[in-house]
Amino acid sequence: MTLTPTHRAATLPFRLASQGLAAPTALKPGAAISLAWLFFAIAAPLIAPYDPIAQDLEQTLRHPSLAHWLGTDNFGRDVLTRIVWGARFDLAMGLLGVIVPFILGSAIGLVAGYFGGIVDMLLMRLLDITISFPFFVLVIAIISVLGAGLVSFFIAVALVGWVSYARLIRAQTLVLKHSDFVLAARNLGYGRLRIMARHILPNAVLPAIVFSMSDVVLTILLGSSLSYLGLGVQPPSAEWGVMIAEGQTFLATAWWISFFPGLAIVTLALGFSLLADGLAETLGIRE
Amino acid sequence: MSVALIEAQDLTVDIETRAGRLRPVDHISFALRAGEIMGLVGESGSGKSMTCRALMRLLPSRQARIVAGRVLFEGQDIVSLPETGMRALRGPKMAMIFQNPSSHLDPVMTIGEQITEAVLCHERIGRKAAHERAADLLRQVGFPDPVRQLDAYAHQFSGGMRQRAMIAAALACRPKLLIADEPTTALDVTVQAQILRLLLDLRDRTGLAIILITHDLGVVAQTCESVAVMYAGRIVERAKKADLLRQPLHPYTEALMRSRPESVPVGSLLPSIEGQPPALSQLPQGCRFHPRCPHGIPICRDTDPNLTTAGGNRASACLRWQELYAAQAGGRA
Repeated sequence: MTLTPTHRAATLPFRLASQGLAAPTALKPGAAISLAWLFFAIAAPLIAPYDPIAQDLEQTLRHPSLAHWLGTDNFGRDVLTRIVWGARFDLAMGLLGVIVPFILGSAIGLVAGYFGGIVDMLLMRLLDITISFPFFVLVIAIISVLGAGLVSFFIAVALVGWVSYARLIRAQTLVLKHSDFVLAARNLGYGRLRIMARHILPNAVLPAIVFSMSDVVLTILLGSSLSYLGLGVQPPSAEWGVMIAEGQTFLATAWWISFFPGLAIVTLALGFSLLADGLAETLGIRE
Repeated sequence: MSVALIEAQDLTVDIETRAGRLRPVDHISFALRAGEIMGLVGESGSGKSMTCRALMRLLPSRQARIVAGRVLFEGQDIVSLPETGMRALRGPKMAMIFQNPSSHLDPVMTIGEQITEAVLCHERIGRKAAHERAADLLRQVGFPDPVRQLDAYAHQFSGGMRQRAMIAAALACRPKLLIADEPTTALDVTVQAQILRLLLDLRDRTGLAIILITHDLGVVAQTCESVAVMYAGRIVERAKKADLLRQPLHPYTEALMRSRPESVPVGSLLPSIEGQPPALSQLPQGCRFHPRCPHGIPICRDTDPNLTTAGGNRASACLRWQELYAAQAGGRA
């Protein structure tokens, strides 16, 4: 049977659609946006036009203009400058707030999966207890005990966020520990630690890496939300959640104070989301 | 007779299951000198692999345990050895290679890393020396361009190359005993012959003793000096290769030999052994082979035969070996 033109016409949109969703399209813009923010954060002292903290009470609540591209807030601070500096806080919260739970969770998942038995049972019950609390409630509770601030935020996120990584790594470990190459490794007289770290972990870590990319988004949102609520970064530090909270009272008269930090959060989150999606697709992993 | 490198004495492995206790390895005894190649032959499920896993003390689950017997390696009983002591033996003293090299190599490590890791784990030598050793090993197992191929991953190799790489990794710490669990089954025939020749060659050069698990008597004929035939967890016949191939002293061995493609004229149907090997949970009374045995008589149904010496260096676990085979074997024994 030959393919008639109508057949070809019918299959073409499908193929276009499937190709349109393919990895590179999401990966590249995602990486571009994320890298741009990373650049702003690192180069903040060089590219920000004003001081992020110093007040200028003669320039309060100015509209966006050539001198102040995104306007000024109620203390006369340049909004653009504060957003650029704020990228440091929000990226740090997103990245560090993921790396620590990643390492902690991977270690726990690896140990639980490889040793099994009573060790696995105890660690998994600890995990069950942790996830039986609503995520936000537990984070806020830990922060209220430790006192508001960035350090408390990182501790709280580590204590609550490890569970996802522990589960992902444990699930992979359970399969991999019975794999043939692990048997071959045991055959060469390798100890447990070496087998876990050198043979199981590198083979198990991929789903966790993909998850961590989207976890960055959630952690950034968590960080800025807590700062908005006054539990994270404290004013007068330039952090996007803090800026939104400060601009709230002026929303009717000076919308730009809250609007642009909000936009910054949206673009940064979008960038990492696209990056995560693209990465998952490129690596052939679907969550 | 020289001292055995490894000697199993009444080695017995039990597996606890919900349905009860199974015994996949039942009082296995054999001995192997340095430089000797022994074939361990039998159908799937006869306990060949389990025997070798027991020798390495790497049984597949916690439910499987060595419950009786001894394994003497260089005169030392390794059954009672603590795990750390055993770990020091695996690699430098004994190593194992497997049927499916593709899945036994770590997919995310280069071949070179896998070989050097084995060396560095057991020996106090520098990274550079280990790297050179790895290249040398690859050359020994027949890689044409070892220095470059050290940086390759397992998926970049063909099946035969992977098997060679696995042999190289197993030999990294110069073990004295190599257990080869069906090393050629997953390979095509020409590559099979190459790997067997490689094993023979390594034996000749290094005095390596090899336990070769196989279900292919053709492989045994090409390589081994002695053979142990296993059926349902027991050794049913043990002999020098030449003697065994000339005249088997057990109906099971006889049937295995009749099922070889070379044993029948081209074009005729290959004979097979009737029935299935018994499940470990439902072993028959008496001789375990009697339901499938063409020579079975009523006594076989009641009496569980022991492995008895049948002249010279051989042994058979058939009650009737004398009346069935004595005429032919008598001259030799």
